[in-house]
Amino acid sequence: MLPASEQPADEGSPGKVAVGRRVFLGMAALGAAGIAFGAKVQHLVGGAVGSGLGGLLPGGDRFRIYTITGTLPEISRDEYRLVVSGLVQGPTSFTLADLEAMPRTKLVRDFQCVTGWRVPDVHWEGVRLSELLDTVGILPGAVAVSFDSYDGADTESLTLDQARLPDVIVAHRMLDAPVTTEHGGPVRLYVAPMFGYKSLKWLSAIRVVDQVQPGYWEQNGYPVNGWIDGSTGPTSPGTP
Amino acid sequence: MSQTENPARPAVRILRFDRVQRIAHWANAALFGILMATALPLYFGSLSTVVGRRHLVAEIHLWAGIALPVPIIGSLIGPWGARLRRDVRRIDLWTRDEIRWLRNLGSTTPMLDKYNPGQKLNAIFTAGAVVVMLATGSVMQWFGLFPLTWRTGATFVHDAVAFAVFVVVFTRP
Repeated sequence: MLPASEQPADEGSPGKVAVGRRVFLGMAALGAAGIAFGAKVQHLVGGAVGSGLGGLLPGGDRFRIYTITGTLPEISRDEYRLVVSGLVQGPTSFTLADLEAMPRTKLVRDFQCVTGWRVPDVHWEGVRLSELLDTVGILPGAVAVSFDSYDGADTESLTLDQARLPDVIVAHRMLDAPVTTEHGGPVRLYVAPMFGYKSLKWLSAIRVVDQVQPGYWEQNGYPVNGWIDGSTGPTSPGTP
Repeated sequence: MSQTENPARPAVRILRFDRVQRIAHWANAALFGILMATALPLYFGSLSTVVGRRHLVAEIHLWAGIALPVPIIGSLIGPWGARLRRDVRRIDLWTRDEIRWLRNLGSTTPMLDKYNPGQKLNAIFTAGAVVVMLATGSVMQWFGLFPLTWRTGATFVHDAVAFAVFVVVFTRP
């Protein structure tokens, strides 16, 4: 007689049930349902869970930290400067204290990555970009705004109309604290109606220019007008 | 020939797994190891800043993911997969005894076949996880083809199943 392990599985015998197939198909169905409805589930569970289950894990961050260069630029709060130049009446270099002294705009909005992950209800605080542009004064002929990063690699741009939206801010506080280096501190851009790649980190310079210059991520295939609501034009009907 | 005449040679040699099964098993385990190791810095911001080179890590994760079904499918199809196919049937079919074990959360002792029901469950979970992770990973990778709610849902599921995989791999008795 063969040892038990060598007896072929007896398919015909009564009482044997294809449990494997059922559990496998059940998992696949649950996965498909999760793709379709996971966003709603995540929204219901809310900020406690964040992007996936990371919020429940000790030390788990809810943001995915992306860098283009592979390193994080360390800029001390004292040495930080934001240079605004180009088609402006008076090119200006702002210190962090300058920005903090300006009128503050607070937003509680999601951070939505184009690839899908989302951190719900993030607290943002900073200066409206439109306010900053008014401070320096825009010259005629200005059409767009370009942004540079202290990482030396990332660039972004917005049309002047997009830059003037009330929920586009130069953020110096995020998650109820000064913006950390990981998140692009001390100062980053936050473009609420657009995907995360538009919210350039480690903001170093703002240049007012006469045409839209596609930024780093746009040169790598992302839409220039990264509206979260899916619009593709320079203006979105869904924006305030 | 009896054991007393030639003690160096075992009387019965049981072939539990053939070469195809062993290669498939270790290739699959290696890919799981790579995927889990690269998943950590992709997910945890604090780790990613230590490891750096996010693009390279993501690229390794992507290719290991694409390769994931190859050992399983490659070993199941073809004339070389006969033994593995037979084992898949063993894992699929459960006796009443084994189902009772599952319903009682492992408190009863079923009659054992080649695989105990815990091993069967682990194999089924692994197969299910491979399919779900491939589907959700594809949505995340080729996100331009899918609506935003799908991408968010896929990320949510990918994270949750990844969490389950870590729990199963590191806590399975």
